[in-house]
Amino acid sequence: MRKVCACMSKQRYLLILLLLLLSGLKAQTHLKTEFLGVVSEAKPIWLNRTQVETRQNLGGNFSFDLNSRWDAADHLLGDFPQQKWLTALAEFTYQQPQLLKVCASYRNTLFGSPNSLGLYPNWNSLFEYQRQMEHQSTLLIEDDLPRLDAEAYAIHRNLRVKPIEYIYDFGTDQFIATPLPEQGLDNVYSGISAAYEVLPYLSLGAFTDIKRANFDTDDFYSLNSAGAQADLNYKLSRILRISGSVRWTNRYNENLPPQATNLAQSSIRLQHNLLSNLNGYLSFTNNSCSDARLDTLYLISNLFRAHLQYTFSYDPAQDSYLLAGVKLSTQNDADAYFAEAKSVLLPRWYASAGVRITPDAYNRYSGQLSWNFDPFSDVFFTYRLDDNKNGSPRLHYLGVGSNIYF
Amino acid sequence: MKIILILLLTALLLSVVAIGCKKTTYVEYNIDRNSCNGCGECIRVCPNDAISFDAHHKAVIDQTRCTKCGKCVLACPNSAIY
Repeated sequence: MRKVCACMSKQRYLLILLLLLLSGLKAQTHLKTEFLGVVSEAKPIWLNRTQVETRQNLGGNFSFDLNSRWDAADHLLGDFPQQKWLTALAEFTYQQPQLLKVCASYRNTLFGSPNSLGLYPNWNSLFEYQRQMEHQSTLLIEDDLPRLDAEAYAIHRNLRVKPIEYIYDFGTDQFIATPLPEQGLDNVYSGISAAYEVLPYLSLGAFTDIKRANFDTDDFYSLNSAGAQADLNYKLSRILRISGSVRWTNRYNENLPPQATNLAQSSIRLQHNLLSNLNGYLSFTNNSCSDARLDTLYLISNLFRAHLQYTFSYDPAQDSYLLAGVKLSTQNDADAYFAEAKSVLLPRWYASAGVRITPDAYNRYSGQLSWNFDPFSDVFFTYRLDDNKNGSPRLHYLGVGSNIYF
Repeated sequence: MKIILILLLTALLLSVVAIGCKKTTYVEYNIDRNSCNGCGECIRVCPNDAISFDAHHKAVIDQTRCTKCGKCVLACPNSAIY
């Protein structure tokens, strides 16, 4: 099965590259590829990561975007979720300035993992599924009018799976894994929203979203939601901008606990340009919920986030910087601290280093040396250490790669 | 007028935060859309097919399917999930 999946992935990837070439030489394209060796206590793993992004103006008001990402490892290691992974997005956009924008896209994702998952329903342990691929079609219509911000969307997602049913065998007193024919699990999402700018810095709006899942006859995974929103975006001074929003969502699904019927999301963000080359922001987001009677508001999670970046003036390309940030979300154990530095060493040569600390999960240290062979394209040597704290082995990533823009 | 409106909205935000301090056992992960770059790493690691791309190609969590395993939080390269 693994060989078949890998073969399909390669064929589709080659097809995408062919389409890319056929789409014309005037496309703006970014190609990034990395070849990495991942060393741990177990057998080393070889990993290739390739990413293609291209944008083509088709004339008139039409444009075409293609984004593709391919990861392939020679074998599974630890928590690597997929041995092969390919996701490709093709999107056509029509834009009529001062009127509307229409985007139609198709995304194909190939899953290359032998692992079975207890997907649906997750309380039924007698079925497992091997994800094969997913088709996602999306239509988005947005207006481009001065004070009205409205949009409508529809998404169809079809996940192709190979189910495995565990049937109890009375003779052997064991559950026997029985493969079933491939099937598709469908999700349909649709929604509309509209917001009107009542003042130059304040807009008020409403929205509704509907999700249906056809594999679930009792609407266990279907969700209806509707709500209202207020957004503020105000420039307090030449260097300080404040933005914020309050969003209230009423949602109905029998799988959600009653106290989560109403969701209140509020956020506030301060963006500051302290000096011409020093800028940063502070943001705070709160998620709270309540039941249908709105008796009590319960805290779900808070998110505090701060970023500060200093760009060194000695680099004419403005690509040398020092960045530090923090993300605090203690309710969901999702705190993270990170810092990154990049500097030009010699003409065309850059070095960068980074650290990311997530308490109780892992510390990540990375370094990279790159050489720009033209103003935008480079080749690089890269190293990364994932120092896992949860019993997983340390992983050393060492490799070479390139970024090419043409 | 502008200042009053700003203060009102800020007060509303802060009051929601203040009132919402009562703890709940209900866990819900959300995605900071300003930080999500649409790379899909969270979709890749989710064992319940609970994360998908929305119409703007940003990740969104389906709360009806999420089993709160937290794998997406660790996988996100931009620390966008909280």
